[in-house]
Amino acid sequence: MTILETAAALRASKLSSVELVKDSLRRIENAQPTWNAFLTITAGQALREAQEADDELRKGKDRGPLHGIPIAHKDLFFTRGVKTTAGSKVYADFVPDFDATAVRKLRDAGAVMVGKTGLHELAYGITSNNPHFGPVRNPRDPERIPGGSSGGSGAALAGGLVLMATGTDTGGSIRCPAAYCGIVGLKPTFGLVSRFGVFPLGYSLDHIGPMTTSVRDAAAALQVMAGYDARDAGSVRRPADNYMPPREVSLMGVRIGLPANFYFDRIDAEVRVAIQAMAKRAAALGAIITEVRVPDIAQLNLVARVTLLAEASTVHEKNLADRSRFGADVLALLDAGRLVPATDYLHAQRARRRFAAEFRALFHQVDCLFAPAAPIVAPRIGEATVLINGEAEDARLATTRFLRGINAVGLPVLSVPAGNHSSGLPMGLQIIGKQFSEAALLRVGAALEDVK
Amino acid sequence: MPENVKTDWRAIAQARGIPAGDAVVKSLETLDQGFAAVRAMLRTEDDPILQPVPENQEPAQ
Repeated sequence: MTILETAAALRASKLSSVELVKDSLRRIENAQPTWNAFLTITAGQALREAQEADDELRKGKDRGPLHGIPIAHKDLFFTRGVKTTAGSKVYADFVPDFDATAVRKLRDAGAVMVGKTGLHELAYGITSNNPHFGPVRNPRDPERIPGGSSGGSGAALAGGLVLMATGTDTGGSIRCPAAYCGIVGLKPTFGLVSRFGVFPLGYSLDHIGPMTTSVRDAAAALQVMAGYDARDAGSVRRPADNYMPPREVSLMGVRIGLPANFYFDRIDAEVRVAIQAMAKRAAALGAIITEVRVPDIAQLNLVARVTLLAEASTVHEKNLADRSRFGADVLALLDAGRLVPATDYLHAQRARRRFAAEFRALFHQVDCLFAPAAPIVAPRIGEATVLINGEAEDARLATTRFLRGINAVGLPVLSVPAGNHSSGLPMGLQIIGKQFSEAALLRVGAALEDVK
Repeated sequence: MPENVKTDWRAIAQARGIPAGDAVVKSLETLDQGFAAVRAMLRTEDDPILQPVPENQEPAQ
């Protein structure tokens, strides 16, 4: 069931929040030995909050669609009184004394946190193969990664453990697990959702967003999470949109760009066909599909990499005195980041403005872009190299090739399932839009979802 | 950074007391080579002071 279906059942007294939360906790307990999706389970607190949610609904106090719904937070989000590890040995015993803004907003909307989900160490990677807490496994195939860094959130949703989870996306960390786990993930426009109280990774690249099993659920969650927050220096003051797509969505006249360059290079043939099929589905709903040339994403990826290397090392440099507390892959990235020349970091910032202008021009031609989330399906755990059409590529670079660059220009992206590969694994479609076009992206996503 | 100059990342790392291994050195070499195209692309007009800030990118008050 989706959040919206569950919300209707709660209000019709067909089930209670306590029943929902008990069911979620039972599923988590059963799944934990296999998928390792959670780092902390907050059963007692969740059951108390679920009881309060039921009491409020009985008394007529309705906080909206998330009222009484079991959710999970990536263990990067500060949760008052609940351990928040960032998937790191450094913060293994850290207990915040306040909630992240996103956590507080979701709590105020009545959502019930059942636990904290696993992630790649410090959110700095895409495998969620955590050396300190064990690998998170993909419910679609436990021998494979769920993607990352929000891998626990992706696994929890794909495994039916919760109805919504939070994620963060600095170079694809919401969209990658969404694609590899076959769920919905939304990376909003930079500044739309407050990052206050979330461990940073890249100051100018970090985004917070919802992960769900349906597009309309993502809209419901974004409605709660979005909004200006003076405690986040990057937060943007602008009126909230209505993100919820209507019951029936038409794509008549919506201009969708299909990239002629970059996004269909070096890609699994089945992924290519899947994305083209999604474009055809949109066309059948009235959308106008146009082939477009997109900015040089290979260069944009380099700009994003240089920016992230420098920013992440700045964030974590103070902890590097004790190198034993870091996994090998993260340590290598942190070392590299300390060696990036300041001039290259600044060149990257100049280039970002240039790319942002190029994307603004592109979005005069089309309303959104369709692109694959990844050129491949989820690699096996520990698989360093993948073969794409017979050519070997680093699994991490292949996974982030279509994701990373967009973070440098802060554009919103909705990742939705694009069907299954012949291997049985899911594939993902990215719907990329201009700044603050989340409502439009969600309408397109909902339309595609409604006719699948 | 001038082009055609091969940076000795290992020496820089050692001088700064960063115990960078082979993988780090290799990744920096690859990144440096790739980033040369970004450096080459940039023009004077890309300097922030010469570009207006778009309305929707105004910093929060």
